[in-house]
Amino acid sequence: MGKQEEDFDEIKEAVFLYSKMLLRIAFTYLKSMHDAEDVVQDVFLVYLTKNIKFDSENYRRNWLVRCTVNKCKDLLKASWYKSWIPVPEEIEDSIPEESEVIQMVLKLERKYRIPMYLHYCEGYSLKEIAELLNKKVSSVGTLLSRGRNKLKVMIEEEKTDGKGEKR
Amino acid sequence: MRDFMQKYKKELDDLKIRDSFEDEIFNMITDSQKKRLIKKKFYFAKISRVAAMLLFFIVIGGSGYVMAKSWNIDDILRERFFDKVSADKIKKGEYDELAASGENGEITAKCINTMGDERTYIMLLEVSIKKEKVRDNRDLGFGIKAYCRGDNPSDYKVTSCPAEVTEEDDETVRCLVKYEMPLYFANYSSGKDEEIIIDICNFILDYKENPEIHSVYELEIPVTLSMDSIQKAEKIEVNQSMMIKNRKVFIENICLSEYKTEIEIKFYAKNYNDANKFWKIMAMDYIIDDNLEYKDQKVYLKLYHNGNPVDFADDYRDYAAVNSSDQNMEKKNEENNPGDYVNVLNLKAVDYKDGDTLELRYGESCIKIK
Repeated sequence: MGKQEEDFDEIKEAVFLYSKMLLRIAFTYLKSMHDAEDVVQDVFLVYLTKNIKFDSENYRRNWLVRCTVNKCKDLLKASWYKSWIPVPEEIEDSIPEESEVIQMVLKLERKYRIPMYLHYCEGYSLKEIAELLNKKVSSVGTLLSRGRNKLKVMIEEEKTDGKGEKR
Repeated sequence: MRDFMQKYKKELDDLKIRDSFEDEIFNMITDSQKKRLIKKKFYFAKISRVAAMLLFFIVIGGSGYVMAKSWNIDDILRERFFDKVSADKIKKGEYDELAASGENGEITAKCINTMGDERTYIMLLEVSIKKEKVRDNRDLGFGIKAYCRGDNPSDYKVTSCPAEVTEEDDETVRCLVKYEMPLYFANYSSGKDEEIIIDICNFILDYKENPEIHSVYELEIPVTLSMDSIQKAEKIEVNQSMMIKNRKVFIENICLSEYKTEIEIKFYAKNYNDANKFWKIMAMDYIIDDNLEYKDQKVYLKLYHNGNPVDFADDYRDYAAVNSSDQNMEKKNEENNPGDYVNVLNLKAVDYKDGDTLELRYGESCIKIK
């Protein structure tokens, strides 16, 4: 097997292992599946073209996550993006109303969504999230705590509204 | 909460993530021609989003270089101009004389000429600002955003331009602005013409108080880069210091990686409040555009790689050290005790090579926002 083929196999493996996770992270960041797909493709293209060698699987996984977050930030701050495609204020229309959980999570501010997703869905520790997002551990803790509280309030409100409607 | 978030993950998987997406990436990767991949990605993956823009480019491009020479500045505020830079002229060090102007009632701008070399595209603008349009006793200035839509459409450069006042009467202020746009992402070496997009937007500045551009302090950081340390994102210890606002500032570490450059800056402060106040004035120049209510005078710090500036990577909103102390600033000692304070600047990654030079510059603009 040639070196190039080995490289491709390595990237294929990464796609198999991580593409969905990265897509979820990018979507959680951008609220748009089309943009999220673009970002994830970009991430794998960087991986492919840069031909990076990682010391460990964990390092590769973290690199991909961090690269995805950075690409999302780049996309949001790109002036062509801001001027031609306004950042969507509303959650993507294509998400059905019955997906209440998605609707609720995406109502959280971005700074809360990402740490919460990484912690509760992907199992990252506070320290790891701090490294990935380049924040202090205490700041991540604060964001998680505030995000949790906000989400709880939303869940409670949702329950109350549901009861009200039933009556 | 964990269950709730797991439910979110599942709902997302069920509803939105197509199985074919993996296949698409697989197909993309198994194609061994990388150039084709990138081309495909560039032309097809984003086509739905930028179709209108591309169409516009085609129209502009179709009219060719002649059209690019005659900018039509109809509305100087939030207006977008195009200029096609000739790779041939750039190589010869020639420049174009341009005389296009426009006004929208507040600002009149006239582009006197443009020039450039392999690294920089320079634009000289003569700007007149009508005093009657001044809001709240403040005068108007403007900023320029310019970016090059080459292989990477998201690359852009935001710079505020301190205007040098050349003439002033009861009604108008005239100033001259030299705007230098770094073109480190342009591809002149291949002989390819690049299209430059320039946005001009206004913001408020008080030119009266600081009409001159302050000197820029430069500090060369003798770092020998190795690809190995870059790939491993190792920290490189740098033992350099300079005086900023009467404080000795240490550049402690530089961490380079494939996607990011980080510089750790440390300084000595008497207490937490002092440290916080200091970091607040350590702002990047482009914050000036969007942060008009910010009251401190702006200073900025820039990293130059082989003489070319490196952009900051994060959205300024995430660069919390500018506005708040608890995000990026590490308070090593207890409050009110003397100690070292560390901040981390995140910059975009560039293509580092062995033996490249890095240079950190600290500058203070004339702009003061009240």
